[in-house]
Amino acid sequence: MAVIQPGAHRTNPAERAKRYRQKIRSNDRWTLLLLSPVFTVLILVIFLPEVWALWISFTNYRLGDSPRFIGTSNFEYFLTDPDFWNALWVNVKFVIGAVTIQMLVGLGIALYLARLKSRLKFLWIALVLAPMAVSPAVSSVIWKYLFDANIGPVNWLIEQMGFERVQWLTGLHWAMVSVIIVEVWMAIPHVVLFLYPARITFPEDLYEAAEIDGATPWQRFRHITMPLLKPAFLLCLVFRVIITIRAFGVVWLLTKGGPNKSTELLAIYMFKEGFENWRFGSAAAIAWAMLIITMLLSSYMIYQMYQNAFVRQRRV
Amino acid sequence: MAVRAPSIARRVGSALLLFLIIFWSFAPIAIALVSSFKHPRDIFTYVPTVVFEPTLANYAALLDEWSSFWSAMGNSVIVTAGAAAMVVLVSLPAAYAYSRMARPAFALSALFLIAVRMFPPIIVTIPLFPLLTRMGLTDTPIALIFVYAAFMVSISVLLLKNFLDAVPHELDEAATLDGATRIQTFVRITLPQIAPGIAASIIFVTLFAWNDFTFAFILAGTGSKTGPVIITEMMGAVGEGASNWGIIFAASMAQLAPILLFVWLIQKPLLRGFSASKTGD
Repeated sequence: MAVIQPGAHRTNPAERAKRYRQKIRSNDRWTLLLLSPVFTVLILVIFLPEVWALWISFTNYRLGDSPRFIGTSNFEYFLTDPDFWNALWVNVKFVIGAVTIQMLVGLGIALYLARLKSRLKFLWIALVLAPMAVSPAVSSVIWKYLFDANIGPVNWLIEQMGFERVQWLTGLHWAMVSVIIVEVWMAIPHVVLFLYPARITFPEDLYEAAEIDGATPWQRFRHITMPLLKPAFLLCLVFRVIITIRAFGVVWLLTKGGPNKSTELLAIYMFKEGFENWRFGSAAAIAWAMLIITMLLSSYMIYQMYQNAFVRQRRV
Repeated sequence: MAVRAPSIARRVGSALLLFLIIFWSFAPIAIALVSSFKHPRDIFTYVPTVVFEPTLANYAALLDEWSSFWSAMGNSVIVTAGAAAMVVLVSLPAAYAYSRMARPAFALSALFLIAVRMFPPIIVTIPLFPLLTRMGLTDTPIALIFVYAAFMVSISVLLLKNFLDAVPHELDEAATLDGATRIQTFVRITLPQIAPGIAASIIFVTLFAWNDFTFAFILAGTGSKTGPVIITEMMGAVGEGASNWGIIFAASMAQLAPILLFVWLIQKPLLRGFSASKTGD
């Protein structure tokens, strides 16, 4: 074991500075070495392919052909394609509908579960979170059956209640309603998982004091829960918008974008351009447009996550 | 003043609300589970059959007629385990570097790490499909392992860094003074302390890789198809009479049961890990 000599630190300042620089440099080399695997994976699998996609978005690349530079024609092509604007509008409707409902219902469920006193609480939470474990593939199987116009339990239930049967997945307007319902079903556990842990950290005596002062449940929600929950709620909202904008799997499996393109989201429009028409140049152009939209929307989120993980706590 | 005990009407209302919440989230899964034990003729009725003779016929048919389903499930296991292992191996050193060594200048690189995670998966398939096809990787699990790992490393690094930050530096220093090398210190002292963080990372990767449809559907060839993809193919085969709803429900439950059990078992670290990171989906 090394014993530190009393006079060891009393070397001249230049010597000390040099040694300090060497220590920093060796430290930096180790840092780089330890960080390199993560960045290698990210650069190889996501970053470089995306850069290549930017190049082919300016070409007429089709699978198997060699790409030829055609300038901005791909961008002009989709920007003048009515189907693109339809997909954008469908996406906006889908995001607004699905995110609004999932945030409100998810908030309600999270607050309800936080106040719930039950010996089986762990079971109820597990059952609420269960849809999170269901693959989009299995969700689409389940909901295709539930929404089946002829033998589906949903239509049976509706008729029992005295309403008319609905053409859920095939009706021109109902298809959008159906895919929003399924998306909400899949997303609510994520919202609950975001808001519930935040809610249970609030001091309970705040609520007790308010109750003693005669505050109504609405007042308690308005003046205690809402201000405290706001940061988590906003972060969750932004996150859900980013995730919902890119929706593809379950909608593709339920409706293939139909009927009559009424559920053709941007991702589905892009997928068809790439994997049905095999126009990869044009699909890459749409992909980059989607990437730019996502990045604009995500910048707040990225900044928040960066601040949380790397800046805020260092100051403490 | 004591807080009043809730009235009976309040309690009934609360129970009703709980029933509605649970019905909404779990009834679809329960219906699929029950249907997987029904004869196809009992599934195909307009008035739902509540009383029926449970049968294992669907599962038997799945075993006999759909060997492709089971090989796809095997692929799912390989891809999920591979991606989870890769994520932990790659993100642990990075999390350690960010937590213990990196100067503030390096923290900026984390912006790239976080930003890349926001890329929508579907847009990455456009360049990846031609590239992987040209490299001949679409029929192997390697492509999916790398793609899943790439999309999950960022959240895993942030999560593990969070846990590492919570381990007091004094512990490291004490061990170092006792003559332990940096690696010994890490393996013996630090690693056991961040085990819940590693568990949480593995859960996130497993949920994503086991259930993913988009990447597997587009990037996997016939030899590397995963469970979710084959289930959707079985759906397509209903029209041709090659499969039926009973078999599909059985397959769906065979795909869902392992992951549901998994999530159930690790519920608590998941809730904790999530509140700690605020980064996952």
